[in-house]
Amino acid sequence: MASKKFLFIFDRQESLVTLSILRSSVVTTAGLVVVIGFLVTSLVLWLTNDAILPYNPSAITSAVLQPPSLAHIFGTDSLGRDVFSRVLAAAPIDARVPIAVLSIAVSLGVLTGTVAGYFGGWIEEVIMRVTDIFLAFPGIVLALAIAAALGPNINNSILALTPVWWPFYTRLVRGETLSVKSQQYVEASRASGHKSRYIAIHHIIPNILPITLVYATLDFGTVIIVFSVLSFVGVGAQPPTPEWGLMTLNEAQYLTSAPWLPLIPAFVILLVAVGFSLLGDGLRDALDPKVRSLFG
Amino acid sequence: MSEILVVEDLVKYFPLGSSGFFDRLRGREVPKVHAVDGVTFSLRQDETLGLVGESGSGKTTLGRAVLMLDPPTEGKVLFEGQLISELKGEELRQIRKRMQIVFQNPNSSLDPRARVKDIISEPLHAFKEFDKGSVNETLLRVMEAVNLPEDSLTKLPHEFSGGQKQRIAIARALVLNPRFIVLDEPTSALDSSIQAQILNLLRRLQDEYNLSYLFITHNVGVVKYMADRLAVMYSGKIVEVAKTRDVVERPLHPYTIALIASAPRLEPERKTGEIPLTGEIPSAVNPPNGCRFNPRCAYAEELCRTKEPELREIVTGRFSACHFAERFLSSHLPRAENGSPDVG
Amino acid sequence: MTSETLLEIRSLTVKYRTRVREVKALDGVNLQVATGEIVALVGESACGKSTLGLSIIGLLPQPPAVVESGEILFAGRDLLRLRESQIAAFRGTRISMIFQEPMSSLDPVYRVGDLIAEAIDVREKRKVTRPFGPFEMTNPAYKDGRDGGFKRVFGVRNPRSNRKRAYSAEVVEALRKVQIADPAKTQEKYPHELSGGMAQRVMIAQALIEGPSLLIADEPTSALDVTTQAEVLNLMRSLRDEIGASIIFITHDLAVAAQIADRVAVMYAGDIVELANVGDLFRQPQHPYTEGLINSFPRQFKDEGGLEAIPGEVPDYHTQIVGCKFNPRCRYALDRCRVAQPDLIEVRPSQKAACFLRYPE
Repeated sequence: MASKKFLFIFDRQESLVTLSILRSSVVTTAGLVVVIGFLVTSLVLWLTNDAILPYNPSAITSAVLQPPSLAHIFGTDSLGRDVFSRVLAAAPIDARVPIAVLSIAVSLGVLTGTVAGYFGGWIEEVIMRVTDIFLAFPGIVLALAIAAALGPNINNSILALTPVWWPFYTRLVRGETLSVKSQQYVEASRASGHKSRYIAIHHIIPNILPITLVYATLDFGTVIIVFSVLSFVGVGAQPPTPEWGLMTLNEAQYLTSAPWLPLIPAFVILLVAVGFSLLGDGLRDALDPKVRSLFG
Repeated sequence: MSEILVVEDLVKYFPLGSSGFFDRLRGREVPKVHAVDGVTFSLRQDETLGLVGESGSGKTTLGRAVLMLDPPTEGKVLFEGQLISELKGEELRQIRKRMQIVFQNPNSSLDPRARVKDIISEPLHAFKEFDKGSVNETLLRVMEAVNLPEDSLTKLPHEFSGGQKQRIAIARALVLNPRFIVLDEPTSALDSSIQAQILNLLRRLQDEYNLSYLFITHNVGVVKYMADRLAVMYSGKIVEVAKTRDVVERPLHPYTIALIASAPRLEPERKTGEIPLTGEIPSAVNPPNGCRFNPRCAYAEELCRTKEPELREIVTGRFSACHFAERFLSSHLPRAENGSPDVG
Repeated sequence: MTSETLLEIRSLTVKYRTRVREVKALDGVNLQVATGEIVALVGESACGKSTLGLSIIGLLPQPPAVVESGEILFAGRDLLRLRESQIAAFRGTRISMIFQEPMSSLDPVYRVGDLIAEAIDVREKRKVTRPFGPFEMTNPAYKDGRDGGFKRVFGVRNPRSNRKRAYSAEVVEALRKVQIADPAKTQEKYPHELSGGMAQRVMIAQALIEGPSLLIADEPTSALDVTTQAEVLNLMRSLRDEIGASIIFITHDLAVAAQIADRVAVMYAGDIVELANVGDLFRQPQHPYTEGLINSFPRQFKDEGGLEAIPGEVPDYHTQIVGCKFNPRCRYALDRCRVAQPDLIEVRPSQKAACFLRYPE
């Protein structure tokens, strides 16, 4: 029936158009490069089980606090471990957590938001009040509480972070649904005799998903940062597991004596967060129908 | 010739603002917008009934109410002899196969993310009896009917011009083989040179497929060209109904006179003069007492301020809702030197 | 009344630069407007009529618009060569503009009276704090200025209530001149309380406060009901007679042009294809596009024969057409039309057309 679509939105021709729009600006290309580099690195490391790293990220040596050199590109930390290897080893973790959190949050958000927005009435009231309750908690506090209760490990962090994000998506999706619902093509569909379920799946969701995904990419960096806070406090990743936020905050004491130690992981977080942010901005542009029509 | 659509005393009110939970508890009445306030008319098979009015007349609301897109608050709608205003759910859905709508703005009536073939075939997928083979066949037939090339099927709406998009919308309306189509200002959003193409297309389709049209517009020239009979609406009511020629050349209602006189003509030497009209369109929440048009009417008298006129038959086939409609019987609107009708 | 050329546009070419390509919105346009004349710019989408209007008053968003070449001569100055601060001095004083959606053009948080008073205030301040410079006031009624409670020497600003009181009489007069019934009551209303027709009249009143010699009206009646449109058109005609301002009236509706204009410029895809007195244009159109537009205007009844539609599509900004831009849709197209672009030449006295069919050979 309908042509095959990637993520409900783009089929092959449209994906190519999106790509060429992203490539047309230096800034968004940079973002795209960073994001792809990050994801590919994480994937490779995960698949090869860290085998390709120059040093074992957990290997404690006596060469402590070495500044960056040819042997150790990013130097060594207070336990003599190679910082470069640790930074790379942390990539799969810092990729997996935001991807998992955002996938679940967006899916839940789309489901609840669409139902709330399309059907309205008491269903909408119930869903939105529950959402409001979650939103009333400061994000980090909520995440900390859940993580502490569940026990400190990475998977529990994912479970702890998801409830912080999904309400935002519910709210966003509901708003978008309301605006799409009032469009005439939805009415035309009703006039053709279609039922609500069909309309929701074929018209509402494909039209709200693009902007939702843009917001998800923009949130990526934030999730990493909040996860880092969890790890620092002790309820996320546990030492000696390499994790960028953990590395930054644990080695903060060496800021004056061995500045590369806290600054490099911090910079990596910044780089990835900004990369996603630029990509998200670029995607938002790429989804604008006026811009798309320029590209074919 | 039988009547395909009969509307009796149709009323459509919209509540103004939302009545909160507590308002309902206290029994507070919410002010209502009287969009359509008691309308009766009929449409014959293969006929085009024009529905003319300005903003606030209720013409769009009436078009949608007749299709049950916004079901009427009160009143009856009989389609092909069946009382559809009481129908709900699956029964109503089945009726939709036989009545369709074309909206004004082709930019918003087509899903920007869907390919043309999915847009046009969408109505077919609402009903299980269509299989893949017949879908393709219908698609091609309908594309040919509206003069769109076959390769349009795989494209997206933004790749087309306004006129082409409207053809796609018309194709979509044809796909279920309806008997009756509501056309809600189908050419108002299009360029003038394209408008003629679409109007000609609609007339050709009406002949080929034996369609009945309810043609809603504010443009007098367009409705002259398209409609067999014409109904003029003002402030939620029909003020005049008759054959198009009679309404345009020998109007029997002061509002119609003003409306026809205001339509700009293509002859620069015949400038629109003083329009026999004052004031503004009345509030839809609090319509005036008596005849709704009376505050603006150049001919209003005491009776008009107290008693609301009925839509009655003045002469065979010509109806007017004016207490003094008979006075206009003898006058004609001025004609141009060459004898052609005054408008346009 | 002797008429002289008020505005002259020479070879104006304007392009829009988008991320991917450059498109031409206006392609070497020439136009003259005399004092007290109403010229209609008629055309369909992407013909460049709005771009032309905005170029004159210097409101083209640059970027993405780029004025590639040409001159706009007004009162002896080339408006295109002026700095923003210089052209701003013209706006509202000698050249005014009104737009299509009156509701969006009026600030909803101010009452109508305040909006008009603001325009008067701008005028008064210009007189006091910054002398009007080399430009003379066009309307002698305002030359002496009004005291209005101002401290002239030091240009001290009036508190709002004083100003409102001082201007109140003029505000009521301005509203009365645009045929608003009960101006005293209307000045207390907010824009959302007005109907479309009244809001457009308020806009016209604002635009005319300083007595401009040129008013650019960009589709001012397109958003109005047909009965209101007729009233506003009548109003604009009588105001022109009273004040002597020239009007450039931009519209897509040929019939509206017939009703309001002295001369009509028909535009197509960035060119003026026909320029004529309104009577001549409709009686004997010299360009196939004009002829097509007139023929495709529905005037007849359903049983009186068909409508002749112009085939094909209206070109958008991106479409590149070789030769005469109208040639793909023209029933008279010659081979020549497909390779070269005709110039706008005089076919009859005061009637110009850009068509090879009209070339004298």
